[in-house]
Amino acid sequence: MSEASVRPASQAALEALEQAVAKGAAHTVRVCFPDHYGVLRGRRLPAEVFCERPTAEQAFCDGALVWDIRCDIFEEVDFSNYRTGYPDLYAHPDPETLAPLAWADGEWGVMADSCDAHGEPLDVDPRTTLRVTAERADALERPVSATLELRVPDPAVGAWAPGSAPELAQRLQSALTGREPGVAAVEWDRPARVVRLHLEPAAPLATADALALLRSAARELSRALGVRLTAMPRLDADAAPTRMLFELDADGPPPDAAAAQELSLFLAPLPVAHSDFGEHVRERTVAAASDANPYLALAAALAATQGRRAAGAEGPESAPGYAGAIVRFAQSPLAADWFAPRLRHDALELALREQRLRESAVTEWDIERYWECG
Amino acid sequence: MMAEFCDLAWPDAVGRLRTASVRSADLGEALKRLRVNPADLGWEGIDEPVRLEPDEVARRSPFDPQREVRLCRLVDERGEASPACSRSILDRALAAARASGFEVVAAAELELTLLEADSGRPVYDVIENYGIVAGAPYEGVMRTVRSLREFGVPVIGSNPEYGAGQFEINLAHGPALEAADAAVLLRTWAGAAAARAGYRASFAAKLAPELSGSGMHVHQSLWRDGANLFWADGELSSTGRSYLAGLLERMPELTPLGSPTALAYTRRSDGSFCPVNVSWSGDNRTVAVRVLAEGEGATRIEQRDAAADANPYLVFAGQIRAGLDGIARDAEPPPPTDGNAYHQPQLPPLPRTLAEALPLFAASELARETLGERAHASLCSTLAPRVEESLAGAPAGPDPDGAW
Repeated sequence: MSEASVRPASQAALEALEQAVAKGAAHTVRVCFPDHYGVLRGRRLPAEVFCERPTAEQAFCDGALVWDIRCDIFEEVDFSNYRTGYPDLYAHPDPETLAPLAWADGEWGVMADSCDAHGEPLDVDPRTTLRVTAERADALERPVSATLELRVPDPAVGAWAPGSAPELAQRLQSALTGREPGVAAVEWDRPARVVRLHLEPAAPLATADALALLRSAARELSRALGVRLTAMPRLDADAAPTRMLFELDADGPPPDAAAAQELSLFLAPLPVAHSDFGEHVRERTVAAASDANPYLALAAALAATQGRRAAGAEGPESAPGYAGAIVRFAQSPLAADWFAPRLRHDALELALREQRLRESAVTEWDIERYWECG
Repeated sequence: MMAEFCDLAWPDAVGRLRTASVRSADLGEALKRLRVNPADLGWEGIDEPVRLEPDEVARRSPFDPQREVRLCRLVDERGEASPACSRSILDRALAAARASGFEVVAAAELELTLLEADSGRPVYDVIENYGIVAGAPYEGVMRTVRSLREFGVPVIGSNPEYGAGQFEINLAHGPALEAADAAVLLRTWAGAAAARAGYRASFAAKLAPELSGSGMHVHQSLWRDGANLFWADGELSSTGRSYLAGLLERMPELTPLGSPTALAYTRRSDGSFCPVNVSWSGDNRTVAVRVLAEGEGATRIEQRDAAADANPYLVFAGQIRAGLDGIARDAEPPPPTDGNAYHQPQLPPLPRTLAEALPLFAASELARETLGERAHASLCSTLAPRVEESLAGAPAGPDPDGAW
């Protein structure tokens, strides 16, 4: 992308940043790209360095797009491994996303597409995947209303007080100020110990960006306030899982429940969400786990509106739990039709790795059972 | 307006800045008086006192508006460069490049680990590489580090790296001497920024077996009349190829310049992203040298074996001399390495211990030419006891003089 391609809307944001720098109100720009789990990665630049070349790409090790949730790299993925030598990916800032990070004083953020050395978007890039899917589903500009649920595990921080969960919720309400979409409403569900953040309706890519940023803000603010807050969808067997909800536009086609079930690996990528998650689709709302990659989850939701199973067609065998999700995704004609082969392959390998790790883990439950049965 | 105080700063043998602070008004007199013994800077056997010759350029101190910093060269009473002057060693390598019509552009890419001051443990335990959230609690330190660009250290970005508490700092490329100056100032001032925030910043090659090592990748290219001589029609030029060949051929014998401690060799393990053999490729993190053909302005060679606590002047000087040697001989590099270089036993190995590296270094004519006879002999005699210690089973630790 050349400097000349900075569009007028983003030009205004750039000028606002330059003014903020001149006034001493901005000092840093975070160039952010999502990894496979929708966790934002990137680099902090001095704001004046960013202003000099606002569309300049930033190089990162491309293993970032296929490492697991702990940043562990492994050989089974195709996109990048020791055999490919972990070359660079190039994060190309999307100038239209340049805006202040309201929760981080003096910092601005810009989202970036992960591209190859020739500037071509990578097929495993979550932003690219959502853009391509939305375009194919004729939904690039179709508004989505998203809700993100985050849990506060400690019941003691529920009361209204400084450093409390409600205060954190209020800070999160203004975390996206200056961005579109912003947070339209925030709920503190005290019995469930869940903070529920409702976003304003917006186009899919902007919505996914906002969700990824909101989770980053939640982690930073919760650390700063000393309140534990997590996107982990299940903390105990009794509580309902926390979710990321997408209400799709009424003018578009509705999501198909069976189709969404085939793609549940994108809606709930880690094993913990898969015990008793419930249905992914209810009318026009698609429910993903709160730790899902918002880009891939929304891409799956949009694919599920278009890839409805033909009457009488045989879908993949349905099995419960995470193992079933892996099998369904692997056998899914819908996934094969809508998502890049390398993305599917690596998503499956990542899931199989998670499954292996989980099966080899000794959990508290195991230990309790052992001692109980002594 | 003249600052009230002037910090005269010069690198010691490990590239750590030593300083003498004087009133700016007294600078002239102080320079007549001040003498430094190179042996006290880690240059064993070089003990005739030397004078300080400060740069004309003064940098404002990031931590005291009443203070400026002037980097110095070490000169003898006749004004000749001292054999113990690291900056002059790089000067000579750059002069050799200029004699062949080349200006060297370089940048160091450094990693540091931020530690709790009391425990010495990394400030966070998990790996959150490139994590845009992970570093947030330590932004006070890293923001100060990024602001060093206002003080002549061209920091262009920072990010959490692939290690607990580890950060990468990116410096803009520039003339090689300025780039090496920036690296030593960065290490000094990053340490100060961390200390002021109640942390420690360590550039040690490796802090513990389970922690990631910290490297100093050196990006380099040759220029003439504003043109990048490494660029030719979208790929590395013949000049660049010969320079690359020189780097590769000389890498084993010059290893101690980038890895001057026994500890530095603990970075060198399979899969560590620290190279273990003589290898190169276009863009492959398992090899020793990457050729990054990123357009006319940015095409460069990145050598990846040096440790973050090495002396940047010596590292740059050695690599530049090696590259020029390749050009002088019209050398051709071996074929590029495809795939995982850690699993290719046919590739010539790099030294895995100081004991392996030192004999090659001691016998190296290029090392002698790069450093000068006395500095080479001094470095060899400094490293020899470390070899003895490591062979006797002493645990590898940070440089006793450097103590980064």
